[in-house]
Amino acid sequence: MPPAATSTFRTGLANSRLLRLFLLSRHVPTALALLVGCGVAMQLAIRVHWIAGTGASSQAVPILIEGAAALIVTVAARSPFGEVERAVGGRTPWLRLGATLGLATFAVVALILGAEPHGILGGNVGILRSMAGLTGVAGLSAAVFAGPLASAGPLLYLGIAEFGINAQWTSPWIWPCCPTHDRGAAITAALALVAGLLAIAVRGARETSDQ
Amino acid sequence: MTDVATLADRRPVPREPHRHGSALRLASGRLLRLELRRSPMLLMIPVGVFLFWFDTYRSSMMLDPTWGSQTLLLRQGSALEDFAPFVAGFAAWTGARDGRRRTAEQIGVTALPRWAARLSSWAAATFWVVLAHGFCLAILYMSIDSHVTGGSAPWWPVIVDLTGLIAMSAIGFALGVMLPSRFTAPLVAIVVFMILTVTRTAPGKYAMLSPAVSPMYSLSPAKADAGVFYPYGSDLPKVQVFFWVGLAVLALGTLGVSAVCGGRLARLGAAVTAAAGVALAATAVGLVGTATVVDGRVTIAAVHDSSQDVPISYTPSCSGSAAIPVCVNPAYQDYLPSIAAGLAPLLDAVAGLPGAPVRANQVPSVTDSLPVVASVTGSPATLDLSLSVGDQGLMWISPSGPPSSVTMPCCSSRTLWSSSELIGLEIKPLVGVAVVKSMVGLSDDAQQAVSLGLLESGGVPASEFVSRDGQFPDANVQILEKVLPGTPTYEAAQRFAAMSAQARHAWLVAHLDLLRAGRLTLADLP
Repeated sequence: MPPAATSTFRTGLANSRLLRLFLLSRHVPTALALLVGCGVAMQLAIRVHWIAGTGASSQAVPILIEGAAALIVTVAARSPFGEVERAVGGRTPWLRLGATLGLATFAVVALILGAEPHGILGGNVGILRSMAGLTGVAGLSAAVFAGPLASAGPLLYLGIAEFGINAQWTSPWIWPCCPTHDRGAAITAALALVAGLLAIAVRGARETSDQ
Repeated sequence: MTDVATLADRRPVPREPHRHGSALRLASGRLLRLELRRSPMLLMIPVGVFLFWFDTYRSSMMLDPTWGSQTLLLRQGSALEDFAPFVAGFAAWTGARDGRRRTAEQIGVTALPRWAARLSSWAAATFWVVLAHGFCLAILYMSIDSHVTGGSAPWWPVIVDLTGLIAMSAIGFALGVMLPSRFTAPLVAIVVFMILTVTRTAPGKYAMLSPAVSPMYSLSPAKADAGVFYPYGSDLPKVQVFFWVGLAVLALGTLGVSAVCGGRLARLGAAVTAAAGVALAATAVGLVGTATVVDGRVTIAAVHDSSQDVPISYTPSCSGSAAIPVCVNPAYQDYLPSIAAGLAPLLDAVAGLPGAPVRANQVPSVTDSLPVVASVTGSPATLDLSLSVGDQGLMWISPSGPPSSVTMPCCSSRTLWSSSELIGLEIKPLVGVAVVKSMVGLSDDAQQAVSLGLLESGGVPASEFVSRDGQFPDANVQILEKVLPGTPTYEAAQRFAAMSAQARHAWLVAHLDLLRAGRLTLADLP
């Protein structure tokens, strides 16, 4: 094998090993299994009529399942090495971004498949919008707060969203309350996703010494 | 010599009794103090307090100023729902600490029994939960007490809330110990959130064990006039407390059964504790299965206190010089002027007629799906008004909208019952139909025509029913909704309404018995 090809092959091996170790360190296999569980939960919730009709109760359960998926995605963004990892080079932000985006995409697919064939209020576009926005909120929360407080941010948002659904709010800042075709809500969710992904990629999930 | 020295060396060293036990107690106390200072539950407090203020406190203060109304959301489990997901999640985070940091083996060889250490961690976390939630409820109760007009403070919802949160803290902590993963805490929080959401809309008796109550789905929805006409029921709260204490004891018992927790005796004690928790929770489930629900009041024979069935005595507040006085419970006397003014045109129109009620009395509410349920009973006839005062949510408004004099936001319970115009729009038609059905009947065309004519003379035009087609879920109203303009019945009603009050009165005195018996036709009407 020519030296250049050998070097490329070894670099590829090293990169794949880095990727595998990175994904294992983030408990991505566990996260994938849990996201499949979220899809199953969505299917079960439809079958036992926890998600039925068009009222407030039909929106509450899907949002909670989507919230669970968003939290799983951002918990998997946590580094087991803390500050030490930042000193190892420039690939870490790309790895964090790729892993988070990949998990979020997997979550959307799992939830959409879980909602088939009956579907939920808001349809697949609603699932996509909710997951995008909630992933962004969870990512921002994980980048700013450490430990259990990182999960408290999205939970607080879900609590306010549920209040807004019952009170029939239409603010685009609380996109679960808005119809699927609401452009403002879609833009807000997209901006939240971008902000969350950037925060995770640049800063990573915040860790403190006692976590 | 050597043998004597050897014998002396072999004398047993006297053991100092109780030093081992007291050292462990001291260590446990120190651990508890450390845990109190360093508990992650402290981080939860601002979040929970904010959500309580945003959701429960603000919404409660908008309701009518009675204890039953402003504690309505608390009794529906709103305050517990604000805290519960965070409590369970943070408790799970605390419980998973040793496993997450991979220090379980190091900690496991310390002298303090693991069960005692775990209980100390849990107790510290739960202390902050009880303190924060208790503080929030204290603020709510003090605020209500400062401006309330009637009713009495319910204390069982406070006990149920605190017990439920303690149980959720125990369950979350136990799950964290058993599954020490980073994913555990957020998923526990979401699952608790979902259980409360789902049980809120679940029908049936067993769903009543959940503190989350929906007025639409629950067999025993919380009533806004609780504590006004009857004492608050305590049967269901007692059983709820049994259930949640049972779950808490079960969770705390499971903390001590693993091999690292100590000797066989200690682990056996933990297993017995867990079994006791199961027994208590199962007893509660069995008790709630024996519940009977009548008019939304739950009776569980095994824990029933018969003093709750005795109505609260009161002297009604009545409107002064009206032909048919309107009387309400003193807790609602602020609304008496508007209620009396709103119903006055109708009551004045029927006053003195054969079969007309001699007074109108407020009775306990029976439903919140209608703003009023009226019936005429007794001899002399009395108009019973079951008023839905103090519930949250919007009330019905006519198709033409609220009067211009009514300011937004329309129409909360306070806005409705404070406005004689809105009472005329929303309450008078329902009351009027009950009165004319009792006096005249609605079975045939003649009865319907006279009823509509009387209502028209009392300020409830026949067109009101047609325009509201289907809006009032009342069978009697739906009969009148079918009398369309242009029909002979409608025309007869208009002619009857156009008569003078004296002529109407004289005709009814002469013909009411025949009319009630169904022996008159439209042709016999003036």
